[in-house]
This record gives sequence, structure tokens and C-alpha cells, in this order.
Amino acid sequence: MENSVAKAAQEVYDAFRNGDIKVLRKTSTRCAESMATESVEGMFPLSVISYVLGKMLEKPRFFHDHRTEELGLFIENKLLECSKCAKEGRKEDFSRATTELIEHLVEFESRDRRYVRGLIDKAKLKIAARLYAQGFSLSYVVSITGADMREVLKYIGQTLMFDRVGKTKNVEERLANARRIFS
Amino acid sequence: MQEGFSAKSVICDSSSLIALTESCLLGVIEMLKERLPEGFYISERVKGECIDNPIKLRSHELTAVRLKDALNRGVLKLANAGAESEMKEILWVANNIFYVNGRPLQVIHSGEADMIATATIMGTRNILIDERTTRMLIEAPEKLRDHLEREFMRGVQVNEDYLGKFEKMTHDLVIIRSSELAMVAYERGYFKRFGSLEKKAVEAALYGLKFNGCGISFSEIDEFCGSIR
Repeated sequence: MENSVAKAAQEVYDAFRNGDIKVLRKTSTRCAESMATESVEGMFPLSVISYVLGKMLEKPRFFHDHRTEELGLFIENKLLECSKCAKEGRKEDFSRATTELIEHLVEFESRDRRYVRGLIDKAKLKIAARLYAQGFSLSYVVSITGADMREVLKYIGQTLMFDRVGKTKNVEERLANARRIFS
Repeated sequence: MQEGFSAKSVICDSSSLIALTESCLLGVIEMLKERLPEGFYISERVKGECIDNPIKLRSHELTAVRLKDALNRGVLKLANAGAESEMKEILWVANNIFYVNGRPLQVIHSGEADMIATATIMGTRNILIDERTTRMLIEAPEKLRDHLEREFMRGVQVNEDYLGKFEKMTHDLVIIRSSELAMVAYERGYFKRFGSLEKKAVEAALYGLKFNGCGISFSEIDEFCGSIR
């Protein structure tokens, strides 16, 4: 497994230990952005985990009772395990560890659910939108993140990405083509 | 290649169908179908993406029901093109055009490749797609490469052989977006029922499509709306 994945896993661990929400967010974005050029299998789960942990640290309800210590310890141990597996190139063990961590986070959030769409789904949506902005197709980003296509379209529709990049023909030429088809 | 299909049909991508349905503009297809001898087609894969999968999700069931109804009533037709091997070839070629750090960049997926393959087999040139990447890959691959370079902050190499092959596969495709459908529908009187609000309605429709993911810019909307004032 690439060194970059091991490094990212260590960063997530350090940031979570230090309660550094800002670094968790940045790491999530950086992992998402490097998925295409580094490793999808490694960077995608780390991006999701980093995003979710950042969101959880923002909300007092996740860490307000006796479960806090238990949850925190579990997360730290799993992150250490992920980092170790990545450093040693044990891809399957890394995948298992990240899956177990994500499942645990889903289960923990479901005990006090406030929204229809949970944090994991939100993370997938953000990553999908980031990848689309980078230049990957809609079906591709949906297939690798598991985000819903409609949600991705709605999300990207609220951004300015089509105003910044994407013009290939002018309006008049497109309209002329459309008129010809329906003449 | 299937016989009997002319240039008077359009193959639809999921992105456009979702944008139209979410903006309550599916009626535009119904209206324009009358001027399209062969009609609007979707592949099995697009049917899966737009109808079969989301109809099981409460949050997106209504969109799927609307599209299923359109399919049932013949507003949309199912293309049984048998395009699997063509789809795989297009996918392989397209995803070996750009390289970063010596690794090929997988820019499109089977959904988009299947649509192009279906169009090829059916002998239709016209594809309805709001999705930006495929459109750029077909119409301006050099712009897509430039964008990828800016995003990855490193050089993106182009395999000219595969680019040439892809261009040959797609050179006669004509791409329209859901926004162009709305514009042509306006010209054909679709928004007349809004009376004095007709021009406002088409402007609102274009913004609606944009906010639902159609790859159109604010300046393009302004340009069209400016031309009809």
C-alpha cells in the first residue's frame, strides 16, 4: 500500500487525538482529492472517516456521556490499526479495519439519529462532488463512493463548477443543433 | 447495427432525465416527442439508474415513478441495443486517454459508455446529456485535459492513439442538454400557458435545471434570456 495512505491514516489518528476538527476536514478533502492519483481503496475510506470524525467532534451530543471514553478508545485503536496495516502493505487488513470503524460509527450515530441522511452518506456525497469537480464523470463518482446520483446532481447544481469550467460550444450553436433535431 | 433508426431519435442519459424530472419539466420531452419520429430512448442501464434503483428509495421514489410512468406511456422508449461489447470497448479506450504519474485516469464509467455505445448501435447521432465530463471528452478533450492538470497540479499525458480512436467513435455525435430542450420547447410554445409570465417561466425553468445538475452556466442562461426579451 502506498506510503501516502499510511501517512494519511496517521494524520487522521493524530488529529482525532488532538481534537483538531480543522485538520480532520483538511485531511478528508486531501484524501478525496488524491483518490484518483494515489489509491481509491486506501484514500476513500480515510476521507469518509476523517469527515465523519470532524463532524462528530463538532457536536456535543456524540461525546456527552459514559460512552465517550469507550467510543474514543475504539476509534483511536482502529485508526492505529489502519495506520499499521497501511505501513505494512496489508491491504485486506486495512480494508477490514476501515470497514469495521465505519460500521461502528454508523451504529453509534443511529442511537441518536436526527436526520434522514446520516453522516456517512453526507461524507460520500461531499467526496463524490469533489471528484466530479475534479473532472470525473457522474456515473464514475457514484460508483466509487456509493453516493446517490440525484443527491450528487442537486449538490453540484448549487456550486459554480459549471460557471468555472465546462463551456465547449456557445449557446447559439447548441440551440441550432437542438432546433435541427426537432424541426 | 439495428435497422430502422434514423437521425430522428435521441438517446437520453440519466443526468438529463433526473434534471428534467426534478424540475417538473418532463412535459418538455412529451411535447418534443411529437417532432421526433423515432422518439427518446433510454438504455437498460439508464433505466436502472433512473427508475429501478431509486423507486425503492422513499426520498427519490417520486422522480422514479414519474419516469416509469413516462416509460409506460411511451414518452420514453427502452433501447434493446445489445451494446455490451461496444460499451466495454468505449470504456477501455476512453479510460486510457489521460495519464497521471504513468497511471491511466478512469474518467468515465459504464453508464456513460453504455449510452454512447447504444447511440452507435442504433445509428442515432443525438444524445441528451447534462453530465459535463463526457460532454467535454467528446467535444473538447484538450479542455478536459487542461482542467485535470489544474485540478491535480501536475502534468496529464495524453495517449494520442486512444484519443484518436475515441474521436473516431464519437465524432458525429451531437450533444444537447436538458437546457436546450427547454429552450426549443419555449420556441414551440411550451410555456405559453403561463401567459404574461411566459418569459419568466422559461428563465425559471433554466435555473431550475441548473440547480438540479444540468451543466449550464449562469452566463449561458443570461445569454438565452437576453435574446428573447
